[in-house]
Amino acid sequence: MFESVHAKDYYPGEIMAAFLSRDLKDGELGVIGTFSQIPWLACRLAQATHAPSLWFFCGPSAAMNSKFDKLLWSVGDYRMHVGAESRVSLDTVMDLQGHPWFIDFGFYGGFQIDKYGNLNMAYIGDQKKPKFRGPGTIGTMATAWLNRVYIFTLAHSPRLFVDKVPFVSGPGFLDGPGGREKFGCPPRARGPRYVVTPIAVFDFEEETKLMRLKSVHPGHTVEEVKSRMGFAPVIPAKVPETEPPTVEELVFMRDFDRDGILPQLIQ
Amino acid sequence: MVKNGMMLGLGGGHSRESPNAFARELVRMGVKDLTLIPTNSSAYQADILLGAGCVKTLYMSYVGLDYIGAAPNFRRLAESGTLNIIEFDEMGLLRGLKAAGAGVRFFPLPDGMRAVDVVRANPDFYKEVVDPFTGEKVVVVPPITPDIAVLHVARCDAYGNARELGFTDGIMHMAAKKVIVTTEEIVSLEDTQANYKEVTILGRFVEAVVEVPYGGHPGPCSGCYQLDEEHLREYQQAGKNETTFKAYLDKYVYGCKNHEEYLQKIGIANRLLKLKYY
Repeated sequence: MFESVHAKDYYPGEIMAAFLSRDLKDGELGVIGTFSQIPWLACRLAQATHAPSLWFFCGPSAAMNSKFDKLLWSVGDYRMHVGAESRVSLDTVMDLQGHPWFIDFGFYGGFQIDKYGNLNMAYIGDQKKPKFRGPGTIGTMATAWLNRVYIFTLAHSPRLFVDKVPFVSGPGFLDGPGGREKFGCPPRARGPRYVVTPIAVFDFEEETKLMRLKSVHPGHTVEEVKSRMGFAPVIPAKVPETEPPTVEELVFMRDFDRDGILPQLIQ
Repeated sequence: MVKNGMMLGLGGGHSRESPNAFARELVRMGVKDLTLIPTNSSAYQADILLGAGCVKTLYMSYVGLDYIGAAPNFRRLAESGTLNIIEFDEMGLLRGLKAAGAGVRFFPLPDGMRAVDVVRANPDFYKEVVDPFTGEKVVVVPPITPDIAVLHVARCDAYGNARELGFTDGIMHMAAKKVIVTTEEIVSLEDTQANYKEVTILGRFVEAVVEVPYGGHPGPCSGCYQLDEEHLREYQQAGKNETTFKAYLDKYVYGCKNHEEYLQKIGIANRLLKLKYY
């Protein structure tokens, strides 16, 4: 066994995938969406390292445990079926999402995310004539009942991180402590666990359910993280650096991302 | 078969296996006032009908151009306030179609649905009722029954038995009153029989089968050709305003008598055949 050495030079998407990958446990099962290159890479990295029996499937391509060995722009690409173990049509995906334990975790995002981890994919402004029209709620509603939710973003800006989303597509902690219970979310669905951005990682404070800075990626500062948000996250007295990818992790990721998608994904 | 004012379902999943040639033909025919129910994650097939003014009401849970980005006509028309949008999430829309296909009065959604704002944005379709067994609140959706559903697949026989990878087409074709399948290739019944475990579209539901090679262009068709990124980017750019989109339609839809001319305009040897190798 080689001793793990941390890489010094990597892309934001790579530290994000490495962080997410380490939180996934052997034997668990996760669901990923369409514009989900980083979650896909995180699942494959986990399988290649500490979680060989991790399961994952992607709703849009309908493939369970894809063995396709190169990162693609669209996770809806039918090449995801290479080496797949079963096919899950969207109807089955809907059944599985509601199932009490089948899915352990899922990855979600939005064009707006608020301090309680609520996601907006629909619109801003008047419903009949919105100021901004997003693509639609699609599968983000499942954050209401999935057991564990990871939020990932390709940007870190005040436009993305807003105080309160005007439309909840994906429920986080809604209006704070007790919010999820009030709206009937099942107790097993514990809400968002982490928010992973190109410059930092957040979790949520237990008592207040407010987004809290967990770590800052090397090369970035707490001040920078704060200044690029539309609300003030909880900042603990000490904020560590996010652990960078190890050389072994980076070798796997670079080999998997042979078309260089991650470097283009986050500018 | 498609008439003004009909409720039309369109298959596909994101950009793949989408009845895009069929959508272009509807634009050419000048169909009006459609109530459009595109697949849960829809793309070009919905956006082009919106941009060409064929649609009055849109049932949607997602309209976008796959990884390319926003669906330009959808966004422009929604923001101008001229489009009647019935807002869904993925599950509500699919369960509505499923309720229609299964012949039940409504379909319940999981606990927690009350936390999602589509329930408040679309009170006509999401209703809160009391579960007669437990007395708890539950959100239900009613059946959604398209007059016609159109699907595009790689392989279908003359009897309508079709094979596709499976996103929403399996549910959509059972929900609609009539089904049209466009296919890359009409295969023999023997071919279906040799691969019957892969059949996801039941021929008994299908009214018409039409062979349309490259009928999913500029989206991909699984196992046949890849997405035409260059064309979709051109499309996205053109859709950003009315004038440039009119020029796009003049060139690629009104300017082509039929699908064959469209394919020639796109370029068979230098573009379409290349999409087969990836």
